Amino acid sequence: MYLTMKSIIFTTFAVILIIFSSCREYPIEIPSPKEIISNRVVLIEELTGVSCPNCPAGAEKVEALLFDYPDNVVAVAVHGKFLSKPLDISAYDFRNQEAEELEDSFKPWLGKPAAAINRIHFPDYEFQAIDDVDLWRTYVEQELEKDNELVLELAQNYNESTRELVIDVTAIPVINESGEYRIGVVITEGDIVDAQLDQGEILPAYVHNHVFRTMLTDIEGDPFTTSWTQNEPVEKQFSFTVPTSEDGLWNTEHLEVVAFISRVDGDRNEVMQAAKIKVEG
Amino acid sequence: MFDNNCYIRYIALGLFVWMSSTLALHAQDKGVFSGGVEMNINYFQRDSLIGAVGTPQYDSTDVIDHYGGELWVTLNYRIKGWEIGVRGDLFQNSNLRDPNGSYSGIGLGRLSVSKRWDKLELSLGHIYDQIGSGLIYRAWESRPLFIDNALVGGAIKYDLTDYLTVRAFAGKQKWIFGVNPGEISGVALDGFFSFGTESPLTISPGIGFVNRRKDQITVDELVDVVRNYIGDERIELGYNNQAYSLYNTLTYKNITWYSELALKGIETFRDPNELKTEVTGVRTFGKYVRERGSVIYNSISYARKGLGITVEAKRTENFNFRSDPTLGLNLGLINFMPPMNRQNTYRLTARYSPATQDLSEIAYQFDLSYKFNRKLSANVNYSNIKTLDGTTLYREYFTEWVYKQKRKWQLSGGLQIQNYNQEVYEVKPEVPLVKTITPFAEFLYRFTRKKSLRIETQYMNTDQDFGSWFFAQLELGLAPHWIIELSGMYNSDPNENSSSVPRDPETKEVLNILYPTVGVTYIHHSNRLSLRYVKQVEGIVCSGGICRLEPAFSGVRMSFSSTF
Repeated sequence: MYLTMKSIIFTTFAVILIIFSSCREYPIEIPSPKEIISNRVVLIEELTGVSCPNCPAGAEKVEALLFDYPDNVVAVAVHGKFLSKPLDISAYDFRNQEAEELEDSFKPWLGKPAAAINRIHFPDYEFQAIDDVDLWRTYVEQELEKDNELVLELAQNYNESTRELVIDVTAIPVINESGEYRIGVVITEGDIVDAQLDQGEILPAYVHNHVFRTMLTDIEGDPFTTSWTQNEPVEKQFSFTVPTSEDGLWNTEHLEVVAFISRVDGDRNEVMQAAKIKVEG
Repeated sequence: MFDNNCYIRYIALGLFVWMSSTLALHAQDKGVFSGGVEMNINYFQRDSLIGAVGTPQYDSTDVIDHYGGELWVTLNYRIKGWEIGVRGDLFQNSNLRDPNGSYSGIGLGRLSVSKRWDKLELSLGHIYDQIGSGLIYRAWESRPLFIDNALVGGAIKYDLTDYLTVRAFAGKQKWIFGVNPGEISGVALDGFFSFGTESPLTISPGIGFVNRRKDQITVDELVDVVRNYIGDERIELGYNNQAYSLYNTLTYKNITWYSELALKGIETFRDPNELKTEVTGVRTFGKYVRERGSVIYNSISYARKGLGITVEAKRTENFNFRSDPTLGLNLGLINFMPPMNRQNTYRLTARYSPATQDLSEIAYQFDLSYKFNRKLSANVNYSNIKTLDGTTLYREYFTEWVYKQKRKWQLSGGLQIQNYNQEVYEVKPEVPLVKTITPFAEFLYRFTRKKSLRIETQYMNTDQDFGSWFFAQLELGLAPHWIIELSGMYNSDPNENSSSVPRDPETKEVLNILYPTVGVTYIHHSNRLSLRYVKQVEGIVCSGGICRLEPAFSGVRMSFSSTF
């Protein structure tokens, strides 16, 4: 078609209409950081690995949560199969069969770092293990804002000579309820200095914290009780011989016991309350 | 991401009723029925030596889990200006969505109805379309990358005049069998003008506008993230993000010049290279930022008998445009960035292919094709891609010469020299720039009209990544039905410094591994069935500049496609 004055005017008008068709938008007010006071203790199971270049950023998100909520968050760093193979300069291999099984239990997930918060599959997120590190705090704070259902107390007794560790778990409910409830107990180790990939470089002296070492229960937890009566404690004792290791791992000064109680409801096995205690008290 | 099946069903039901009532008046017209089937079935055979491990398909103790596949069945029907399309998708233990995971699902992959009345066209359902070259909007499908970004909604197109068309659309972006959060709407005006019947000059200008509105859940998520940003790292947030594009194709005699300028309004997106200060004082990579974006793209080509020249250039800054800014990887992309390198086809020349960068890229490409005579032709290509701060991402020198001896035989060969920033493209820390020199040759010999043999070979010389490779392929064609192939990719000089290269479990010495492929393909009309035994090293899979890293594969692949 030939170019006519009419078509030029029409086109110019249409172009101007499109360019100015957007609306002015006022920015959303961003509130201050939340400062939640809660009796709940939230479990973060962080899927990580020493060959995972984005995982140090994920670990730092966990540390930031522990900084803000030191009494309300416990963390377990699970070095399973994916991106967990030691680097050439690694001194340690954090992988073990239980860690791999635990990592697998959260599948499917899209990548690392990812984290399960209280083992809940949040309805607005596609996967149980959340691979968007920025959302970890959101979901942790959601959990902290819920009413507390029970108090979980841990006591330890460690015998240095025999390396025998006895852990007493006491759950004191503030609810009356019956159902299926499980307990999980994990041993973690921190302050381990070893190599870690971080974006474009290898950090030879990275400090690994909350590293999953072993689990004293099934990864889904062991049966704990079938009913809660308000203020009536339910107790269970675990014992464990801390292995000796010549490579510097299983350092009892840096070992921590993490315990959690979960409610089984169909396919769901969501954590109600967690707790932690150092092996050496 | 929300399940949207009910929403789609209601649209479909309404449209079917509408269409049926209309068609009843035209029962004598039977219309045109077409469709297609595409199916992949994989058997995953664990091979820890090459790294074909660590996924459910390899590691499961249940043998049935070692099988996985996909199926797409498409049906289209056209009658009296109506067009209806339906596609059923099935994924069973598939590694397509996540190369390291397993996905199963079945549902309606596409349902669309469109109707044209003279100058007006209405479409509802799953709609594929693009504005310009796609810089601000492209709803498209790429099955090998698990991308299906159809718009689930409605579109209207109206021919204002013979030379001017306006279209508008609104809806949500498809995600598997549901939709991504956020609403997408847009409008585009496309024209065509010539300057007289004798004039060699024509222009096809266009302008487009796209708005993406975040849903409340996404906004709340972002608020929860940003509220914890410290000091001046805090950013503002908004609901809407607009992108504009002005484009034109100018044709003058043998010259075609396509140009496009795309601008994106200020908006929040995640920049993986930005540092964020945590409350602990530690700075970590990855932070939401709020910036404007721009892309400018030009492509000029000249063609006459025996000669073709193309020069392309593109500059991209902060043009991350997704249906939901919290999504990453290849998820939620609203737009499409054209690749700025040669789309290679040989196994080794295509091994390192650059994904387009949406935050920082400046790239240009030169391509020359020349036919000396009926027997001899040549192609030369050069591409160069950098970040805006000058870091080399990709550089390629490529030349190919083809000699045809009538219809009896054909010999082609050439050389490719590449620099590839593996650290950026594959997010592999502390790896050097991959530098390759790859000579290649192909010989095609036709014994008879029906029987032919194609021999293809390449050698990639490199000291980086896996080290040097040799590849050879024999392909026997028994027209019109059979193709038999045998190929091998051999790690002839493995890189001892690479942690990716397979090693002897005991001595830890690097191994020279052969990755063989044996396959047979049967073709009958538009039906194609192939069965292949494959061992494949990990590598990049790309479709038009959108790429992802695929792990090693070991096993059997069967694929079937048919159109009717």
